[in-house]
This record gives sequence, C-alpha cells and structure tokens, in this order.
Amino acid sequence: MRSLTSTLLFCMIAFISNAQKPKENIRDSAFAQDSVLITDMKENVTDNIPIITVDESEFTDAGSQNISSLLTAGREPFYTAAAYYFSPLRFRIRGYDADFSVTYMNGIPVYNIDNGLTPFGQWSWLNDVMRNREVVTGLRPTTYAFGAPGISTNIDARASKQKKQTSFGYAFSNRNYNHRWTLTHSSGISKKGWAFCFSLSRRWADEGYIPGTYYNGWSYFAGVDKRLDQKNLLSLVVFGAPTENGRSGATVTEIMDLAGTHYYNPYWGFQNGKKRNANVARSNQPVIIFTHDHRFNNNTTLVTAAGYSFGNRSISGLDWYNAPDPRPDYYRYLPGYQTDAALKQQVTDLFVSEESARQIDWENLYNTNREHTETIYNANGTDGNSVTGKRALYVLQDRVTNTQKINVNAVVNSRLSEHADISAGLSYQWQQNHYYQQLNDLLGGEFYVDLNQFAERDFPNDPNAAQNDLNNPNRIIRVGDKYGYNYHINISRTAAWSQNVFRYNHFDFFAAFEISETRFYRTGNVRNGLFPDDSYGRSVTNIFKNRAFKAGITYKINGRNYIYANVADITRPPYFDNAYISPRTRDFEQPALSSESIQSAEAGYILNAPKIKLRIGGYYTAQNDALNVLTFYHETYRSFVNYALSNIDKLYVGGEFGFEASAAKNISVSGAAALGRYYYSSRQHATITLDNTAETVDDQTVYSENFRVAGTPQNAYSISVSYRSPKFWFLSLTANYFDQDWLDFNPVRRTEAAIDGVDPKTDQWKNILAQTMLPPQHTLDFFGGYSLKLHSNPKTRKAVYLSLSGGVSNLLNDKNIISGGYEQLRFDFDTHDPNKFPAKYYYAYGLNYFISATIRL
Amino acid sequence: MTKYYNPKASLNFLVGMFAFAILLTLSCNKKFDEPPAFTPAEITPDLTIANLKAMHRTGSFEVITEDKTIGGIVIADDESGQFYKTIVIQDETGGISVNLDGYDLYTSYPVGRKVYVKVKGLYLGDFNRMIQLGAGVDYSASARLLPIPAPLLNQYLIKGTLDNVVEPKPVTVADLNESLQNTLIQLNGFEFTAADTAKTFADASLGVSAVNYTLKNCSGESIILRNSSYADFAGYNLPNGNGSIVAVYSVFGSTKQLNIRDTSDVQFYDQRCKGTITGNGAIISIDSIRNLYPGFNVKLEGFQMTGTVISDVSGKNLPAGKIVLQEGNKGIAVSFSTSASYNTRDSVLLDLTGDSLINNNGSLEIKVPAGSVKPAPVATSRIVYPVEITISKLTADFRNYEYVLVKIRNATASGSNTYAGNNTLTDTTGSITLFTSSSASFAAASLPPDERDWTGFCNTYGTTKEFQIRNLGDVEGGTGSGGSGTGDLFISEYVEGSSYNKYLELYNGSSSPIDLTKYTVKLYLNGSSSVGSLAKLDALTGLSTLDAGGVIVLKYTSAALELPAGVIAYPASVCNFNGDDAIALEKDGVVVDVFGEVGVDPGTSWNIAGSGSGAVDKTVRRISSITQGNASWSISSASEWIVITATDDVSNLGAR
Repeated sequence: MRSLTSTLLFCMIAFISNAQKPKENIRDSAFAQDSVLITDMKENVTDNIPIITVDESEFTDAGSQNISSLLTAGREPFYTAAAYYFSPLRFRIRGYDADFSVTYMNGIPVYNIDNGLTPFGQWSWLNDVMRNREVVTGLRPTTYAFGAPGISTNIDARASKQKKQTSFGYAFSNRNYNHRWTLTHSSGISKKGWAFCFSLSRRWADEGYIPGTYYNGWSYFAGVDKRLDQKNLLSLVVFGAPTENGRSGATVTEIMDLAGTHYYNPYWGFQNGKKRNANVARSNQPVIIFTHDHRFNNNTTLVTAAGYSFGNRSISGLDWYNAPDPRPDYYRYLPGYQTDAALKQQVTDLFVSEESARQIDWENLYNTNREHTETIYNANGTDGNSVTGKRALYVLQDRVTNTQKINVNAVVNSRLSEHADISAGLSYQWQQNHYYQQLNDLLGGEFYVDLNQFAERDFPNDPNAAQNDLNNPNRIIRVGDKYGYNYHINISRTAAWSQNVFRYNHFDFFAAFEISETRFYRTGNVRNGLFPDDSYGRSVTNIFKNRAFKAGITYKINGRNYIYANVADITRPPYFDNAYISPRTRDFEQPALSSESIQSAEAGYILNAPKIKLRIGGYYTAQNDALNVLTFYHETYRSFVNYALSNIDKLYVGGEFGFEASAAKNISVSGAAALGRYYYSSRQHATITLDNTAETVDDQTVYSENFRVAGTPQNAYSISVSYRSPKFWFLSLTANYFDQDWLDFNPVRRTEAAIDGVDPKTDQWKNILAQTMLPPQHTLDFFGGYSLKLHSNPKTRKAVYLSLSGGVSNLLNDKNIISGGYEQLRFDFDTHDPNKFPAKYYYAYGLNYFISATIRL
Repeated sequence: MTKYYNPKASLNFLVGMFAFAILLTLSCNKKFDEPPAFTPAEITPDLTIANLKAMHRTGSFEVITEDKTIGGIVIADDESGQFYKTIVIQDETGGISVNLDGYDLYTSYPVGRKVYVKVKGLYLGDFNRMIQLGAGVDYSASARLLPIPAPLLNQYLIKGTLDNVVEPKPVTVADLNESLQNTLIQLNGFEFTAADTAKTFADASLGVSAVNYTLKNCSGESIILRNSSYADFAGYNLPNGNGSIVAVYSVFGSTKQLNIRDTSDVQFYDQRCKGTITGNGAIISIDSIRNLYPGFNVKLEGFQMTGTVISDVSGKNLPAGKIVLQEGNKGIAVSFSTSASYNTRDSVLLDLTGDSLINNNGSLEIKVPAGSVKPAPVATSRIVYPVEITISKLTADFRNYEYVLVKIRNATASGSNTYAGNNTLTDTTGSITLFTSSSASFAAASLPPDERDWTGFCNTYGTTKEFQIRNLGDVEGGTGSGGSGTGDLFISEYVEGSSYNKYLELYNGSSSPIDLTKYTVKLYLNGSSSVGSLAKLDALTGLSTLDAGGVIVLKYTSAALELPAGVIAYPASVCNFNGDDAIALEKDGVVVDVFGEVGVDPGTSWNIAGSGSGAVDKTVRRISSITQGNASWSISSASEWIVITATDDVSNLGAR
C-alpha cells in the first residue's frame, strides 16, 4: 500500500518506560489536588488535539479507518511535543510508517495483521478508560510482547485497574466535531473482588471545520473484573465506537483558488437545500477481550488473553456507468482544461461565482437516472429474461470491509533473581477481511447492473469480459446488494518470543528474540469475466517464516544520568496488499514474493534531575526489499495499469532531543527537536501490467534513489512555556517550526519513459523529475485550564471537582499551512507536462479551538 | 459549617447533566429527501434553425450577437458512438449539429428530447459545408469550431420534454438539398451493393476511423452511408436485403451522405433488386433449395424440385393451399395461392420458375404465385418412413428437421383438454409445443391422457419451435381411451366401397377369448329406430369364441373385392349400408359399440373425423389405440376413426 496515501495521524505519548524503572501510572485519587488538576488538564488537552480524518487515494481504501486518538500525557518531553504540537502537520516519529508500531490491550495484540496499522477508531473517545498505558519508542525492552521498531503500546483497560471515579465531561470545538460528552464510571475493586467500569461517549457535528463534513459517533465501553483469589484475576471488556462521518479530501490548487479557500471539499453538493456528502465513512467494529491474570508467586505472572473483534467499516462514493463524470473537480471541467482564452474566462467566472458549480450536482444525477429507461436482456443469467425499467447510471456505492479478528495470547513474566528478568510469550492472530461493494442508493433509478464498463469498452465483442460475476451474468442490483468485487483475505500469524533482561548496578542489558510464521491467501467469491480461471475460489496459501532479534545496553552513570544503545534485526512478511497485484479481480501475485528486512540501531543519553529532564538520542534504521502495488489510469495505454514495485529500500536516520526544565517558580519550559533524513536508498523496479488482461507491458527502473520519504516534516522544533498557578489554573504557550516536509512522489514520473524526448537542460526536465518540498511552516498554540473543588467530604476524603480547559491551536489563524499531499499517479506521456495532472494538497485547519468542562466525583 | 459530601446530590447533578446531553444529542438527522421531479422547460423559440443557419457563410465563423433562442428535438445523440461530442437537433425549418464537449451526452440530451439553445455568444461554423454550432474557434492548426465546454452546457442549453417523435421525411436522392441538412429523412428501396453484403458496418478493429458504403436502389440512384468505427455496431454484419433507411442527412463538401443513429435505422430485409437466383433447369434436392436462401426472400428461376407429400389435406392442420414435401432427409413447405388437392404420399415434381423462396415467419417455404399450374402427381402411395427421434435431439438440430417426418416415442401431451391451439408435448428428454390449427378436423378431440407415439413434422413459428401431427392416426399406442362400453369386441374397420363392396371388421381388443354367443350386430337404415337387419355372430360365423386379438370380417353378400391373403369374410345382410345407416354392436342386449347414430339420418353420410363424406366410398379404420367399443357415436366419430380417402381399399382387412 502506498506510503503516499496512507498518511495517518499518528501521535502517541509515552510514559518513560523501560525495564530499569517501575511503571508510573497516575491514577490514585489520594494524591494532592494539584496533581489531579494537572492530570485533568493534560488529559483534557490531549483528548482534544485535533483529529484529522485522512483521505484515501482513488483506488485504495486503507488508512481511512485509522483515526488516531491521543493518549495520555507523560513526562517524556520529546513525545509530549510530538503528540501535542506536531500532530497538525501529520508528524510521524522517526519518519516510520504506522505499520512499524504495535498495540496491545488487556493482553492481546489489537493491531491489524493485514496492514500493520492499529485501528484506533475502534476505541476512539474512550480515553477515560484507556489511560493506563505503557508506551515504548524504539528498541527498548517491553514485557508484554517482542515490540516493534517504532512505537509499542500496551493499554490496560481492565475494570479493576481503572481509577475509581465517576465523571461527566462536555466539550465544544470547531474541529471535525462540535459537541462531545463523555460519561464514565469506575467502581474500583470491591471487597468481594468485583470491579465494574463503563464509559459512554457521544460526539457530533452537523458541519465540521471543513464545509460539507459532518460527524456522528458513539463510543461505549463496559468492563467487569473478578478477583477470584490472590492469584487470579479474570477480566472481560466489551467496547466499540460506531461512527459515521462525512469526509473531505485533498484537491488541486486550481480549484482551491477558484473556491477562494484551502478548505475546498469536492465530496459534497446541495440536495433539497441541504449539504449531502458522497464520501461518508462508517465504522462499527466492536471488540471483546477476555483476560486471565495468574500470579504464581511474587515473581512470576502469566497473562492469558483471548479477543474477538468483528464488524464493518465502509466508505461511500459515487459510482457511474457510461455517464459523464460526476466529480466537480474532474480535470476536464476546470478552466485549466480550456485552450481558448474566452472560454477559459467564462468557465472561471462560473466557478468563482457559483458555489453549486464547484460541488456535486445531486439533482442532475437524480434526473439522469429518472429519465433513463432501458431494457436489460438475459438479465440475471436467464435467457429470455428481459428487465425493463429505469436503469441507474449514477449510484452511491459503499466499499465495505467486513473484518473478523481472533487473537489469543499468553505472556509469562518472571523475575528469576535480583538481577535477571525473563519474559516469554506465544501468540496466535487470525484475521479475515471480506471486501465487497454494496449498493447504497439508486439515486432515483430502479436498478443497477453488475457490469465492468471498462472491460465492456475494451472488449466489445466478448460478452463475458464485462461480467463481474460470470456465475450470474447481467445481474440486476438493488439497494443493499453486493456487486463488483467480492473477495476474502485470510491472514494468520503465529509467533513465539522471549526476552531476557539483566540489571546490575551500572549496567542493564537485554536481548529478545521472536520467530513467527505468517500465512495469507485470497478467496474470490465471484468469477470475474476478465480472469475466469484465476478469480474464483481459493488461491495458493503464501507462507512466510520470519525472525526478529533485538538487544541493548544501558549504562547508568548515576541515578540521574543514563546512556543507552540498542540494536535490532527484523524480517517481516509483505502485506497482502503489496503481494497481490489486483486482488479485486484476480489472485496474481508479485513475481518474487519475499520478506523485507529491517536493521535498526539507536543510542542516546537521558538526564532525569528534579529541575531538568532531557533526552538526546540518535537512530539509524534501514528497511530493505519492501514491496508495493499501485493501480491507476495510464494515459498512454488508455486503461488501468498495475505497477508492481519491488526492491524498495528506505533509510531513516536522525536525532531527537527533548527537555523539560523548571525556569522559575511555577514556570516551566519544555522543548523538542527532531531532525531526520528519511529517504529511499535504492532504484526501485516496476513491472507494469494492464489491469484488464494481466498482460505485462513493460519492466521499468524507477530512479527513486535519494528521494525523500513523504508525509511528515523531517525537521520539527517546538518550544513551550507553561505557567502553573497555585490557585489551580494553568497556561501554556507553544511555538513550533516544521521543515523538510516532502510531497509523495509518483514513481511513474521517475522513469526513462517519462523523460523520453525531453532535453535534460530544460526546466521541464527538472520539473518532471524533482520532488517538491513543501514550504516550512510555523504555528503557535495555546492551552489553559482551571480546576475547582465543588464539594468536599472530609470524612470520606471524597471530593467533586470541576475542571475547565480550553485550547487554541494555530493561534495565528494561518490558513496556508500545507499539511501533506501527493503527486497524482496520472501522467501525460504525450506532452510530458507534469502540470497536466498537478499534485493534490491537504491544508491544516486555521485557528481551531476547544473548550471543555468535566465534573469528576 | 462543614459541608459533607452528599453523594445523592452529585448523582442527581450527574443525571441532570446526562439528560441535558442526551437532548443536545438528538439534533443529528441525516435522511435525505429525494429531489423533486424535473420540470421540463416549455419555451417558444424566437429564432428558427433555418434563419440561424442563414447567418452563416461557408468557410467562415460567425459569433452570434442576438439574444435569441432556438428550439429543436434531438434526432441524433452519442449513445451508439456514431456521433462524437455532438447532438443534432431539428425543428420544423431544418436541423443543425451542436458541438458539446463531453462523453455520454445521451444521458442528458437523448434522442427525442426537446432542447432549447440560447445562441448569444455561440459561434456558427461549418465542417466542409456541414453547419455546426459551437462555443469558439481554434485557429491553432486548421481552424475548427470549439465545442461548448461541459461546465457551461447549462448556460446555453435548456432541457425540454422527453420522448418527442420526429417522423423521418420520405425523400428521393434528388430531393436532398441544403435545407434538409441535419434533418431526419427516409429513403426507400435501397440496398448495399452485392460486393458489400459480406461486410460489417465499420471497422471494429479501428484500422480506419470510419467506413463509407454506397447504397443503391433498383433505378440505379446511389447515396453514401458513412459509419464510424467507434460505433458500438461497427462489428455487426450488414443486412443484405432491400428496404428503407432512416438517417440524418449530412454533407461533406459536395458529397451527400447519410449517418444512421443505430442499426435499427437500416431495414433492408426485402427482396433485393436483382433478387432472383437462377439455376440451370435441373432438378435439385430440397436440401439444395433450402441452402439457396441468402438471408432475404428471393425469386427462383430455372429450378425443379421433387418430393413426397407428407402433409394431410383432410386433416386440415395446415392452411388451405399449403403442403409439405419431403425428399431424402430434408423437407420444405410449398404454399399455393389456392387449395391444393395433393394427398399424402403423392410424389410431385414442381417447376419453381416464378416461385419465391421465402422465410415465412421463421420457416422456409416455396411460395407459388396465383395462376401457376399445379401439375398432377407423378406417383402415389409412396412410403416415407418417419425418423425416430427424441425431443431434445429434435430441438437441438431443429433447422435440419424442419418439415421432415419424425416420430417421437413415449411422449405425453398436456395443456388444454383438446388438441386445438398450442399444447405441450413432453418426453423424457424435453418438451416442445404441439400445435393444432383450430380448423383441423380433430381440433375438438381430447388430448390423450397418457404416453403415446407421435408422428408429424416441425417448423418454426416466429421464435417458437412447433410440432404438429397430420391427423389422429399419427397418435399410436397407449392403453386406450374408451367409451362407456365394457365389451371387448368392437368395430375396427368399415368399408363402403363401390357398388356392393361393403365390409365390416370386428376385433377382440381384450387379452382373453370372448364368447361370441353374446354378441349381435344390428343395422338401422336411413335413420330408422327399428332394426333393419340383424346378425348373431356365432350363428353367422359358426364360431363360438374369438381369441384375444382375433378378427372377424363381415361382407355384404355381393361384395367382390379381392381381400388380403388368408382373410375370410362372412356374408351378412347387416353389411347392406350405404353411408347414412347406423350399425350397433350389442353384447347381452346392451349396446357396446356403434357406427353411426341410431335413429338419426345424417343425409348422405356420417361425419367422421371431420370428413363430411367419410362413410361413403371410403374405408374407415378405428385408430390403433382403441381397444374397446364406444357407445357414443358423437365422441367416437370425431376422435376414434380415420378416413382413408381411397375407395375400395381393403388392404387392412383381417388385421388390426
């Protein structure tokens, strides 16, 4: 899957956590009030960091479900900065893709094995019960799993581990949601050993920050624990977050200029005076986890857990058959397409003056469908069966992914002696994804027909070629019917790992090892007319055996100063998305499937003094032999093509610096800096096949060496000043600067075919090949809060707190901050003009704020 | 005073907040009403298309400054791909081509839609004298008119009502002039040249972008038809007949040309101008005649054809004048304009000169024009053996079995109660329509309820494959239908021949011997209800029993025909019948079978199996599926007998 399109909002905050120090969890209400205040403040702030739902490219749909949510504040200044302040620019720690991280909850792995991403959307806005986390970045040892080179997170959401509280909070903001309330109650563990916890959250917006977007979501959580005896704790949690939101997408500068705003959204249009969004994401994937925590003795614990998750997520979109393109920003409708100056001006005037010309014309779609009566012969595969009616030419479809996951995991931790700890575990992860298209709305028509219009156009004499389902040709489709592609992917991963940690006075060192086997295969549920022998039924099972190793050493100079160095060598199997060339139509795979390898090394220095904490470190990670598959419309072949990329090597090198210091009484200063160089270190190899016939048309070299990894600023700096008043209020002002953010490049444009015939000395040559760097950006953010005690009962020492907080991000209301983007995959090989299909951009929100109030008992 | 923490208060407060939040929540509702139905515009145009075109000078481009509106009905859109980025609209004064940028324009401006165009700011131009309307001029290469850009379509074009019909104007080639440009016209009597008949509408492999064909009529006038290779019908075969073509008249310089919208505009299915196939005068097989058919109807000249008649004129299951001939393993229908008296098993030799070989609603037929000579048969009593076949094999190879005599074994008829109309014949392999004309002699007879063997022939009617029998004798076997009689002896044959040659055959249809002492034959003359003559079978024959399957033949005392070898005929005065007399067979005094109706005088003859003279000068046989008598003459006369039209035919006496 393209890293280009899977920009994922990814921010995590970590407790400082390594095997040397015990875990810190802020959860006991017996602490002093100011501690509660600060906690609340930080929790509120982090809860309200803007959530940016990301777009998907035209042909893939991964990434959209991974809406991240912020985690709790920590004491580690670098990650605090990364979490709080860098997120609007989609900063990724160390430049790694999100699949370099793993997440565990209540003893099972909850990240997806189909693409390596963690589906934060499944527990979005349940932060109240997800605050117990242990986060490790990099290669430090973890006691719950082998871990990952990026970020490893372990969340303990068991009912008995929750802070005993009852709270109700309400927040108001102008971001992608407007209103949010959350109700949480945790009982703590009773004398009889029972603990209950539930949390309910609701957030919505009729229209979010970007016009045409809306949000409608619930989240629920219920957990129950039973402590059987001193040694055994049983836990069961059930949670989910059914959400629906209307989205926006990246778009070209030309239409943003015509609309007069960077927040132009091509996905909506007026219908009966209301804004209707065609690109709506829906997600409902509940999770159930059962955990058994067994303590053999004070030194050894065994945690066994099993989890099951199921449900759908889907994205809607317009689909059409032999009708004009309904997208308002289609390049042929824009003034730039017109060659005649007078006509170009006329079109420009229209786009500038009429908002409806820039948005979807729903009424036209309905009218076209209502006026189009047609007879389908031999419908539903029955000879002589003719169906006459209004055949829809435009429909609203859902691209649905139905996922089921089963995870079983067992981890044993044992303190062998004063100096040695051992951890080991076995895990089994199974996931089945069912991908299909479903008809959402006929838009005034009476039926749709299950045909592939591109195959119909390319093979007019072959009536079978246009069939998506040869077993049911010319199928009549109505609302709710599945059509188009329909296939399952089954993946399973079995792993065993172990880790030894040794602690001495001045040295700690550890080594960990994991072996795993991953299997995946595709099952087609329809026989595709273009590939009748290779689409239906089960494909060959791909099996990969992998191993991972990491080790490290920490030298404790004294109680405050530490130096650490860690290394890792890991192999990983390819994701099915990068292995199958076009899983929607056939089971063909990349010619040489093999695992990729990652070697990583990091080192740094930590200072932990009362008045100052800082960490400075560097890392070097090489990723080799990765694979990727792109599908897009190729101008020269006039058809969809598949680009199977192999030999993808990347290098991530950089340094991190973070500090927090107390400057004066009640004033603290913190800062962070990330400097990185992330780039592709090889010339990739592309095998190009026509999607309709699987005919290989070319083998090309992609001259990608030294092109930058895109989607994150590679340099990011932040400095923050905070004032904490003894009268229980809190203010903080932060300035950030981002640099070296690069646009994702189109590999098709870095080939010999793209510069064929162009003079190397001209600007055109440079324009085709060069990678665009986004301009540096700076932002200013403000947070503040106030807490007061409403009630107090000295006998029970219980109190009711009200905490208010607010924050303003992008205080300067800078609406020109490009937060990301990508070059389009289409390229005109006739004119070699890269501006024919220019890049599409995302812009960060202008001034955006939140205000929240929480009552806590 | 110290305040104590009151959990109730906190709880109340919490509940209150919760309720408030719920209220706030119920504000999102995302159901969408469908937009209201489209109201088509109804505008009165203030400029005619002819006047608009009059503003144009060939070879130049004019921008229209007048704020006027034209209106027309779309006569050509881009749905088939023949027209590209163009629609053609026509009003009462003329038509014009409008250039629009975009694909699938037919979704908004289909043929039949009334479209109004606000012409101010648009440009007139021509493409080698064909006038077009566009939005600008591109002078970069050779000057050409630019289409109206997609986002601006709604500014210039207003959609009117749908499904307006433009009748094509019937013209001749000489009529085609400038004023008819881009209007819908119809030319009659045209065809593709013989050399082109094997080709397709255009080049589907896109080697050339368009193909021109010259169409000609029988007077030698010609016109060009131009088809785009991008049309979805480019790969279809050209129709080879002669007929009418509806098209948009267009010009290219001084060349007149036609553009069709789709293949239904070309109706070339009649006989071509030179639609005669000539032979060398020799006799050719029916198989060869059938293969001569070129896909459209033709006249024949110089052919002779021979065949045996397998249809039955007396069964009346074919229209009057139509017979079926079979020769070898192929058959064909021949239709005379007046009734033909050829009988089954006649062999005929026909000279086909002047006849037409036509496709009559799906089946091949020789149509003989009125006034043609019908030659006498060259032979009679030819035997044609039916081919035994299953229904599935028949339907799979239907063309080759058209009009061939076939026999389907063990098939059951179902549908209505009687033969008339379409029923279904089913055997173990499949089903086929069993057709019986409502004029057939047996149309009112009941369908047999169980499995029979069916002999007949097939043809195609429209798209339906049909099988028909000639008469009830074609249905054999079965366990027998029967009347109310329980007797086992019945009348199996009746011969009313010339002079005194009269015979009656009786048959034991049971499986065991019968006692002849119980049976009496009685004759009632001329409608009388009293017995005219009587014969007790045992006394007459001298036999006391008759074996199962046994036969007794009675004859009039003076009958003198030569009977088949070994057949004994007993003289009996009960055989003194002459066609209007009734015969009754009684067992123990109870009537178990009849021939004719006692007490009724039918005039000259009883009506049997549709034949009004079936009992006079005829041989009448009980059909082979009957195994017992029927006391009801009205029922048995219709369905249990077949009439042999030959006189004095005694060839089947003595055997069943």
